[in-house]
Amino acid sequence: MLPLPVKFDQNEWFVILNCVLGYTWLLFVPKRYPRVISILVILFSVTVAIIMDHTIATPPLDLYDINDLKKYELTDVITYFMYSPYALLSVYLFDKLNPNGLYFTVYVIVWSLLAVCLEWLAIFFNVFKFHGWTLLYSFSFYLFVTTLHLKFFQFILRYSRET
Amino acid sequence: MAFSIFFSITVIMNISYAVSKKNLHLFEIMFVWMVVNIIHHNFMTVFALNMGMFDFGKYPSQYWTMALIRVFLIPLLIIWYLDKSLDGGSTYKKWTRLPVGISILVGIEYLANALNVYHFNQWKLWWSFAEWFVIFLLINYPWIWFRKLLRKEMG
Repeated sequence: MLPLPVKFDQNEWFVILNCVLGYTWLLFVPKRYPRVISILVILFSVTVAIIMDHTIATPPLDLYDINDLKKYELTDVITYFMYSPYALLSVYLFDKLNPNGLYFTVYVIVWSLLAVCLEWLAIFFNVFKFHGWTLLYSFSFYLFVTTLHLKFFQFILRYSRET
Repeated sequence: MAFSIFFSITVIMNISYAVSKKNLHLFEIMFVWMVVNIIHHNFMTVFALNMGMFDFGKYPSQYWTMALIRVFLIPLLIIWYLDKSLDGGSTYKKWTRLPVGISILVGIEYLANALNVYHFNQWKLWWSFAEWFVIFLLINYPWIWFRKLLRKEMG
């Protein structure tokens, strides 16, 4: 049902190393909030990626392909967890730095640019193959999603402290 | 027409759930909503793209109706079912309610097919029942784990 990659090469390594190395920073930082918050943050990033990809990267829109096959393959499932370590890091630093006012906008722009850089690397390593989609579309999408992601984190953190 | 019908159902369901007494914590609702989205999207894509059992509609209205169903309506119905399962009664009683929950989801699926939101290819009715049963199992255990963790960390 979920095919294996055609060839285990650069795109598979990129996805796996990103997931493994991405989470290592968690081992070296002190805990700042309950684990349920981190779980919701990870799920949020995976859910947004899945809704987006399964809506615009599948027929009839089919704006890009992920990994080796046109079909939905096993590496695609792992790819959805590639962004979660960065999502966790962004909210961890957000909680620590607490950027207010225009600094919030700057924070969103910086993280959106970092996400675009990660996506550019993913294209370089053949994880994504665009046909109809561009990095500029991604940037505008990341601006929206990063804001949503940070506000979601802010909301659940406040809610957990109030209840 | 399909979009209006499903949009109306979704709004009515949302309002009804919002005003009803809830047994689930807000974080559980969020957790279940996201897990349902992850699992159901994966199932649908495997069935449609890999196995050719579904054809997604080509017109934008059909496509956005499908997105509405799988992003909002289906997760909401499952959240509501899990919420009601906490109303009391024995575990046996809770499991006997499962066929009702599954039948509602199968009904939504067949209504979407009848209204041309997507088209079944060589699809059999009992596969729908099996699909939703597996989805329920895959959601139930992570939800119980999250619920325990939530109680442990937040009281």
